[in-house]
Amino acid sequence: MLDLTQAKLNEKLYICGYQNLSDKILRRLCDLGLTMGQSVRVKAKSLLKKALLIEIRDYELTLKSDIASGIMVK
Amino acid sequence: MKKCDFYEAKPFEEILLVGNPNTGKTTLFNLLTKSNEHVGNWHGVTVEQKGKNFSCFDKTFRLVDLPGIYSLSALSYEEKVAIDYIKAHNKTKIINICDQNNIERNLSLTLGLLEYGLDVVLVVNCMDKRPICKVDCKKLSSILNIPVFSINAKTGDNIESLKKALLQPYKIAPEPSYVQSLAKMLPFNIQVDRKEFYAIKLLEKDEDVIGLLKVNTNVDNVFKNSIQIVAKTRYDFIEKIKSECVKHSGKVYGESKIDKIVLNRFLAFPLFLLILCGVFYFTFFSIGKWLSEGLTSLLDNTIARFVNQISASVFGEGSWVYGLISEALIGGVGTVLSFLPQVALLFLFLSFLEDSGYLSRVAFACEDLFGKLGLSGKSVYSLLMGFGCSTSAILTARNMDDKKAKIKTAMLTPYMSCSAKFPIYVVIGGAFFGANNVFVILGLYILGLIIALLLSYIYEKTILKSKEQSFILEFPPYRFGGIKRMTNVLWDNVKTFLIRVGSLIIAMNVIVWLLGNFSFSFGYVTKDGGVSMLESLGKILAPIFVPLGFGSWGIASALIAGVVAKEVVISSIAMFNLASNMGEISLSLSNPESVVFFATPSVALSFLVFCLLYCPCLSSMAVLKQEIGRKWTFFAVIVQFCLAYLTTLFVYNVALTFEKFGGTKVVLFLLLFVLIIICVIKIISLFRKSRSCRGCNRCK
Repeated sequence: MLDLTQAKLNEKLYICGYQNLSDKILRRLCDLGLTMGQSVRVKAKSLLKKALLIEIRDYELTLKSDIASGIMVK
Repeated sequence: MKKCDFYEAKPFEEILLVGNPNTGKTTLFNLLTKSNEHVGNWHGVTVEQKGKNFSCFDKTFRLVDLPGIYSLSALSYEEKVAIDYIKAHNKTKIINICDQNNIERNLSLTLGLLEYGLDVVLVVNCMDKRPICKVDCKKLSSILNIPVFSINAKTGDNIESLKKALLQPYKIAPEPSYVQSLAKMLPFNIQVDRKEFYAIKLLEKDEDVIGLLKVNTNVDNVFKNSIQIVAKTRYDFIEKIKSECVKHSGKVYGESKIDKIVLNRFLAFPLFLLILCGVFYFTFFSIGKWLSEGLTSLLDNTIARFVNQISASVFGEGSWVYGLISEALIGGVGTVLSFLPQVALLFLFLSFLEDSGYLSRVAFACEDLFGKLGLSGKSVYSLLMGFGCSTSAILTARNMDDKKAKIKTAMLTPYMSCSAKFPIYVVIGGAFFGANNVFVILGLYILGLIIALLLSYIYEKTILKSKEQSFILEFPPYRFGGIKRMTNVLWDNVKTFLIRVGSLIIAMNVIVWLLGNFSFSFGYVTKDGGVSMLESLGKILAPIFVPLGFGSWGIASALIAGVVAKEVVISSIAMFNLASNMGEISLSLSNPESVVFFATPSVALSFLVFCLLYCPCLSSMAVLKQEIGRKWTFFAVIVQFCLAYLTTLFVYNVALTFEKFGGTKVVLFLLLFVLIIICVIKIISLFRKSRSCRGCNRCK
């Protein structure tokens, strides 16, 4: 199990938990479809890796790395 | 700024336009109400509700376009506006617009609306020729028990069937099948209308609902994973719908091959700067310049000559009316008008960037830098729009989810060089720097940006430390708005510019001319002699600007008039120097007998820097007050003026030193200065080290 920032580019992984996320952010992630068991793929990282581009439910979404580090995947 | 007509009387039945961000709500609003509201390929273009009447066969409704939302729980200010509006108008029909290509995520909001118990008409918007998904609307309608229509909000395909559905009487749609079982998870009873909806919102730990019902959700184990459970239940239901009604092509929404270059870690930022430089080059020094010169000669040879001849023959050349017409209207307003092609082109390029979907990629690339400065990647949008017009750009700061980041973004937007400032750069820079003006203007744009970013850093470290920004942004697909859209944008901006020139600029020019040509005893200065009102007032203020190199009453007056609208700075200079076009102004600026005269290029540069920074215009101040409050607006204006003064003082003195000693000597002197500073720092650190070692023996 690792967090999303540790994922390799284009590796298909599944969400298996969340850690250290506020209720507001967790609720928003869930609204956007980042639900338990959902497949996710990191597609790009910004220069200093502070932002991540992910693919979820057939669309693309950018997240800040501190939020991405709260999404556990395997 | 035009105030939203939502506050007017509302005699007609309302219909709310609700949907995820960037799904085409405003496009549909424009289509139904025949309006021309601002649209763009960026999430959060609409930041406040807009209402307008529209006819639906023989009935008139009032359509209200709301900012985009993902659910009925808000994260940012503009989402809260939309959600509060929906809740306050819960007996109103709702058009829920979904993007066909991203139907799965969009349906999550639809289910949220159905959980609340509203009369929902679902519109599946398909604006692409080759869509990623195909939706069976009939099947979807039978599953959700609500009317579902597939339309094209751009072309209006199938819009008539939607209109017919709007005529149906109000009827609350049945709740989705999972609602009861989910609501039963709540470990206690609540006494409230729409009990199931509020139970689900409590399970989602919605802060507003918790506050409203005054309950504690931290005591029971049920709430430990309840947010995930609610979302999973909703998305499981959506997946069931998807398997029955949606055919997916396998493509990913927003994905593009160009992104490999655009999002490349090392290429993204330079590419953005290159595009910006290209936009400015085409606007100011290429197409825009040729068009502007063409318009100037056209105006000079037709309208200006004709009006001058008529007014001379009617009023006589020595009369004040002739002076007012030839100096204030022909000279002053004509100079501003000749920049019409450049202003229109700049807005066209900005709108092209906005429509293309590229800005979301830029926000992603800038997140590293902006995050460190206490802003969000989303601020890029506001700052970039600030190159067009600060007033509308300040409003876009609403889509920040942190209040302090919003205040910071709004306060920094006026530091961007807006389109009203570049006539000043073109005329004055052109007169003193000739071909090198391209670098001067580029330098001014960069200076504005650097000061804004530095200030943001200072605010972040001192009084406006923002909370962690969420920066959750979806990537829209690349799109080209089409020739029709581009023509509309062009026409819209030409119209806005002409209205602005025809109202505010003319009014200001007339006021400035009257004050500049009549004395306090109402004598016409040119004829009767004496000192004009403006000269008397300007002379009081002029000493403030002496350290900056331009302490004349004419410049002081032009700057004061420019607070209303920055274009007035250049039109006032044209009036004071009795020039009727750009060429004449340029010549008059280096003539010591002119009212506005710059002795050296350093003084001209100093003036340009001051104009870039000194104050937001009146309409920007009004919007700032509305968005961030009186206290912060006052603070922002004071800081901006002080910063403008200090920066200009610094730039002027550096330029003077260059002028006096020559470039090579100054560069050598600066290098020597840096070297001395480094040596001093080294010596101090060595001294500290030797002191700390005295007697401690740890180093050994």
